[in-house]
Amino acid sequence: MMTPNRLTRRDFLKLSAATAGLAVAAHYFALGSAGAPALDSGPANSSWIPTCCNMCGGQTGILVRVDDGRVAKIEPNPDNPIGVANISTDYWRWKNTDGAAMCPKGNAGVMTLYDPDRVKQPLKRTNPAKGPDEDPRWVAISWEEALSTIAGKLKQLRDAGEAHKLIWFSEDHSFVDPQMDFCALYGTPNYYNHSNLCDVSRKASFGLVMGDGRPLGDFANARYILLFGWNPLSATKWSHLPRIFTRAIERGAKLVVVDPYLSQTAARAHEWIPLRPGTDGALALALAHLLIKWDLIDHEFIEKWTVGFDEFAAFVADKTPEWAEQITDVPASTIRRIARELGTLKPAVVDVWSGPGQQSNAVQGGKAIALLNVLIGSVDRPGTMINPECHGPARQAPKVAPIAQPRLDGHGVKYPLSHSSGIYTEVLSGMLDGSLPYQPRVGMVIFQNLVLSVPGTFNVVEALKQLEFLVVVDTHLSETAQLADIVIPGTTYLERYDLTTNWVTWSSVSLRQPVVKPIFGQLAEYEFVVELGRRLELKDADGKEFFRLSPHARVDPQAPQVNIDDLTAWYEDYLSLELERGGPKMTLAELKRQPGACWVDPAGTRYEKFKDPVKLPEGAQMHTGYALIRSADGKTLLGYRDPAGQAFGPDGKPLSSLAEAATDDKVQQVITEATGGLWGYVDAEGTLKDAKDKAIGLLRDGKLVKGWNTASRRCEFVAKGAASKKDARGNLVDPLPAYRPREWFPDDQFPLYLINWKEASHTHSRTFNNPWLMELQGWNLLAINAATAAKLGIRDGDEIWVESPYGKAKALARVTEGIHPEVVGWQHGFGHWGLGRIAKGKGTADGQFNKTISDPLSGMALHKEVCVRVYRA
Amino acid sequence: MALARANLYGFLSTVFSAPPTAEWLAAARDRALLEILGELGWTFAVDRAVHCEETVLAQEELAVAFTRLMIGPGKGYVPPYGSIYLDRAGGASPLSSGGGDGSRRGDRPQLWGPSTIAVEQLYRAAGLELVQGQIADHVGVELAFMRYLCACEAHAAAEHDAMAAERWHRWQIVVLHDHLGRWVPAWAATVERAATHPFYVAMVRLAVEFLAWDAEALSRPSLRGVTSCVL
Repeated sequence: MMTPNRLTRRDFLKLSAATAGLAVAAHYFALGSAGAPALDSGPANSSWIPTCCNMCGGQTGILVRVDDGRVAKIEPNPDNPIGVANISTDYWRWKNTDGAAMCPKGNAGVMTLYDPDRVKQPLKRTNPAKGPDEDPRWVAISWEEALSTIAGKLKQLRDAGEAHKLIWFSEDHSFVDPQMDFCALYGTPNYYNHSNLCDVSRKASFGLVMGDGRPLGDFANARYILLFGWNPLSATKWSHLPRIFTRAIERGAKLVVVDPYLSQTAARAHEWIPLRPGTDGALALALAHLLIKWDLIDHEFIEKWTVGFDEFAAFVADKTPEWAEQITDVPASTIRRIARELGTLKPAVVDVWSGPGQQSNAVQGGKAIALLNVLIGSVDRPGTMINPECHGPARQAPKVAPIAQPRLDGHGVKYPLSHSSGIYTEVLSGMLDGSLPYQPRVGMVIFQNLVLSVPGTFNVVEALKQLEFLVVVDTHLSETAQLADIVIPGTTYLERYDLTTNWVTWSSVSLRQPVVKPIFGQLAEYEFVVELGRRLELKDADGKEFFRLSPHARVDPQAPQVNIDDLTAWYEDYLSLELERGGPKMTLAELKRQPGACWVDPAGTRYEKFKDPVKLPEGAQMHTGYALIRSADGKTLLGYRDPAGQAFGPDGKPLSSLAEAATDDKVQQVITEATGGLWGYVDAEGTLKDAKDKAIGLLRDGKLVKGWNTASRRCEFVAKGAASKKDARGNLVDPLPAYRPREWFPDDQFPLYLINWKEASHTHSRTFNNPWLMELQGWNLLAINAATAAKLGIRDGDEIWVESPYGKAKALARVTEGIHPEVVGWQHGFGHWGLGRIAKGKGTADGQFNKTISDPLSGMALHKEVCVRVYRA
Repeated sequence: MALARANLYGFLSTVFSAPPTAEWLAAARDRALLEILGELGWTFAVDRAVHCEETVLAQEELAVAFTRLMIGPGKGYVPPYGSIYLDRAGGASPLSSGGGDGSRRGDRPQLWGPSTIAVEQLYRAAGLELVQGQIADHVGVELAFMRYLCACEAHAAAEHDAMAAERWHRWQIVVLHDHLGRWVPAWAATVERAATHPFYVAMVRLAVEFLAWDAEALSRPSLRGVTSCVL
């Protein structure tokens, strides 16, 4: 190395002359408004800004201190129920006594915001070959070039009449609405989001039972809590979860956790019940059997508010504890004891989440578990399973022509109980096996790492390689981003807007707002989508340019039809519209002014909402002794007939004759409007229906009440509606929650169940480049039962092979008593080869051992249904 | 002299801000940049990149190399920000119990540390606003700031405003002493190991040399009060 003295003044001048004119630096500066330049700095500008975390999907309320434009500290926000409690009375009390809580991930947010491994500029791939071992040879490009290229490709596809060949994957909470709008306006039915990787089986299970896919347990006020395959004290999602369980225990509640693994929650429970994976449904049926046999059920609730009990009781008559013992490996004596506790300690609540939820028998198993609440009357009452009221922001969907092409994922068709988020595995595996009705050509992946998040890791890689053009928007170069043609830098939650309908038991909406501007000057994801929409000149059915016109102007033809050019301002208007027309009924500016930037409905948590009255219109009348007149096939309502025999049309006008053959349908009540028009009726079973035969309530104790959002408006033991449908394997859906073993069972070759779980240290595959979180948990050791390990000659810390028919990789063993002897398991999300220098090479990727497959009813990805063998390396 | 220094700071800022355009490569060739660097002892096998007729190919090579090294992220990325090198010790986690993840305790490189704020305050105090989306302690930005300070000094000298020239001179010392000069050597050392294109190895060596030379020159009393120079 040369020494400084080496460079003489003359050398320097020569060099300077040579480089003059080559100094065409980027324009970094503009003249500021400051006064005379002075070297001493002034006092720091410091402010606290309320927003919401998004280190995971929990959206815990936070307060962020920003000093001189830099995030210095993150604290929890007591004006946001997430982090305090899920019951309003608890919230209003504890926010003052205890404040709010935040998990380790929230505390570590600053390290993700300022992670040097973030994507900073749009990147274009110059090496066409794609794969985990390929170097993409990225070249940084300008935003203009990126947007122009992407818009060009999308325009080309659309002009060719193939808009439907765009597939779009996104996270399921953040800026979902503009993405859905874009896809609808662009003309693709293939918008998918994350939920089917998460909990759509629970949604289906509870949906079947009580017409509500997102019920929440009032654990704090329960006396007995039975959890199946859920780890709320660590896999927190909502930061108030640990507190509401510990409060319950402080007050004397008993917590029992059923799980193959001694999770953090099981470790703090009064009792841990290990069982074989995927057998929770059988255990629940045996508990139901005992509750009924011992008459520990809530008769009044069952008689008044449910349907199908007798059939269910007959069905569980032979589901004895001994039967369940052979299936689950839970001793019959334990099952008896749990049943007695569940039936006698009141109030009691039972819940299930993604343990059994991500296996092929998840929906019926979850239904059997959900029904335990129904049997003991633990529905929408204090200390039980609550049906939340959530009046959140209201998406103002664009008017579009219906899209002729079918979705690629078989939603609602192949999968009878699937969720609108779709079925990722169906699309991705279909791209490889030629089973799709058409092949997608262009992919957009925003805030998702499909490669490590969808089971069958390397199938996903191969599927994505099929696309002609793939755009990935992410904060980091994930394994999915590495397969992209263009990578767009994403924002962290600290740099953007979102609205969250808080998942508590009453209405509350919180604001996520940027606490710093995007630090690399990047567009927020929604701005990127809006800008693409503008370049494509996407128009709605009225010919309005959806992404240019002010959203308020679009929905109100009387308002001045002005455009909003600034992308951020456009989106602020969009959000404001959703808030004004939704539950909060306020503008974005007003929401910002709420304490903690969070709207909390003062009405609070209400109970027994199934007894809420159904309001009849002014002047309506209820008539007994009337009949409905239906067409011969029973499908069409032609009118009604009074006891004298006079027929009336649906508009209330007398009918002298009927145009077609008709039958009379004797019902309990016919309800007419003031004009005499048919408003609805109460059928023979006491279900209130409208003039289109849609069930909207119940007649109970002489009152019209809302009930639940099921076909019968009651809690349903038997799912009549699902009965005629076939699932994705071609089997008829059982109307009863029959226990069917999961599809993939251990055998001699692969004798161990492999499961995975979540803990507080990490989220999905996202957080593994965060140094603080990796300090907390830097590796996913494979937990092996001590006796099993001894048989295999494996000691704690040994390097081992984990092998399934689909993958083989090394791992490190953790020998423990805290897992069922037939099961091995680990934390999900590790095993990165991308994402960043801290994440790379740590732990083992769990999805590589699996098929790319979903549960046949709900389309839930089967992350936890894998069998392996393990042996020393 | 200040103007000459401004040129060189500007040149280095350009080199580390974006990959060379075809026009820039042509201009470098015209100015016999390589020959001059060669005379000064910086020989490196980059002739093909600058003199090769197929500038498009070479240009893409440089673009890929620049992206990999300066923008990343990924293998071969060396974040060119002051806080990565200056603020590590301050990035201790609330736990600090020793990691099991292979990373050393206290080794928490992070963007936007306190030193980033400090240098941004300098810009503001000097009458400049940083364009949104830029991070204040990016090497290209700090070099551009030095260029600005030198140009201000040159302008003051041309106006025979000795006091102003002296003031800008002092600013330069602060930047080299507290910021750019403090961390560039460590950054450059990492770049030399990681860079995949010899052009950038040479450029960081040049940067280190020049900054060291300039810091020393600035501290020499004989250079103070030089209000004009002949180029």
